[in-house]
Amino acid sequence: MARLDANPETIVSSSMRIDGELKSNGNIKIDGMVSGKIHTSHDLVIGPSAQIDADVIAGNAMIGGAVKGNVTVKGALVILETGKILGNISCGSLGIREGAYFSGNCRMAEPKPITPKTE
Amino acid sequence: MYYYIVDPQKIPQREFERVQNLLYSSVSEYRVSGEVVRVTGLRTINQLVENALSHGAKTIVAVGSDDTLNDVINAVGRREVVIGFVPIFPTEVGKILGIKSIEQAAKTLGGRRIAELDLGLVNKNFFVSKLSFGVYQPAGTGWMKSLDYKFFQNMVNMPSFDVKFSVDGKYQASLKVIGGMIVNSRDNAEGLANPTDGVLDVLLLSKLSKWDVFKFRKEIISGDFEKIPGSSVIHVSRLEISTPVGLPLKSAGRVIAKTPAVIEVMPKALKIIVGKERKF
Repeated sequence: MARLDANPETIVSSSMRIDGELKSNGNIKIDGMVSGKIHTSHDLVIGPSAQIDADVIAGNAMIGGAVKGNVTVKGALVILETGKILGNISCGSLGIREGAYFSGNCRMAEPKPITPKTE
Repeated sequence: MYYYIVDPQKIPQREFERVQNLLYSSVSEYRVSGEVVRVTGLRTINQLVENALSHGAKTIVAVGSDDTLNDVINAVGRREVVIGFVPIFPTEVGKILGIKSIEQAAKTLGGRRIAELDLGLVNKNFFVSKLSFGVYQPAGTGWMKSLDYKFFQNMVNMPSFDVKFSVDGKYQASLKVIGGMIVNSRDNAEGLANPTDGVLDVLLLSKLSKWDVFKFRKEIISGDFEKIPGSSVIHVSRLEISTPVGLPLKSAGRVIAKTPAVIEVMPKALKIIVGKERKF
């Protein structure tokens, strides 16, 4: 997951405030405030200073800030120590670090059944 | 038929004669000769472009600086003409197009590799490379600019101001900045600023500490704001800047519009002859 923020194509700095639908075809890094919707099919990184009041859809996501809204991630979702989610999450795989806050329902794709090897 | 519009505005007379001789010999060597006209106080680029079009010119070649090319593109407007460019000294747009010298430009014209590039449009003015606002950028070239004390002093003392804008009709944004750029193309692209991607890249620079001004002076001067921590980067098709009012928007150092302004990308609006070493 460390490579998630390697090359963000859209950067919302800590002094920036967005109201509406933020949609990108590339990676997004947010340190500011966003109200509305966030949508990317690529990677999303929400920094510790970010305040999100929006539904989030992303390919992969690493959340270190506060998110109030539903989070839908196709691949991996990681909630960092500083992360806080108030809303439902849906993801392919989930990691929650110690100290993170999450309040809501979680729904994950069922893993493929492991078929025992036959000798 | 090639129609060369030569604009001697930035070079002295003696140097201009050398440039003109080099131009004549180069265009005849690569068999791209045509009518050559010179911009004067009485014959503006607009008049010369109208004249070229009325004579059925299919290719209009701007000979001069990036300003000359921008003026020719604005005079042509949305009409179907192929544009060529002969920079008489190394320029940013020349580098983007892969054209560094007069001889190379003539060879490029002879090769006739035509690319369709996006153009930026701000309040009815087209631009090829970028618009900037706020940040002071010193004159001159190369590393010497980064040692300019006036630049350092200006950057440190520059007050930040609130910018409010809307993007593609989808969201409104606001933030405090000391400057910004709306980039269609630039010579140090590195993933951003592709003039064929159908979007403009907006780079916004927040207030920096003295140390950061010193540390990132090269990035500030070259306009690589995305490499400076705390900067914002977004991609737009249409940007409407509403606040502040009266903020000058500059292209190649010239003020071409003031806010409130609508800045749009015109995808593939420019047919231009490009070189092998183009940056996109």
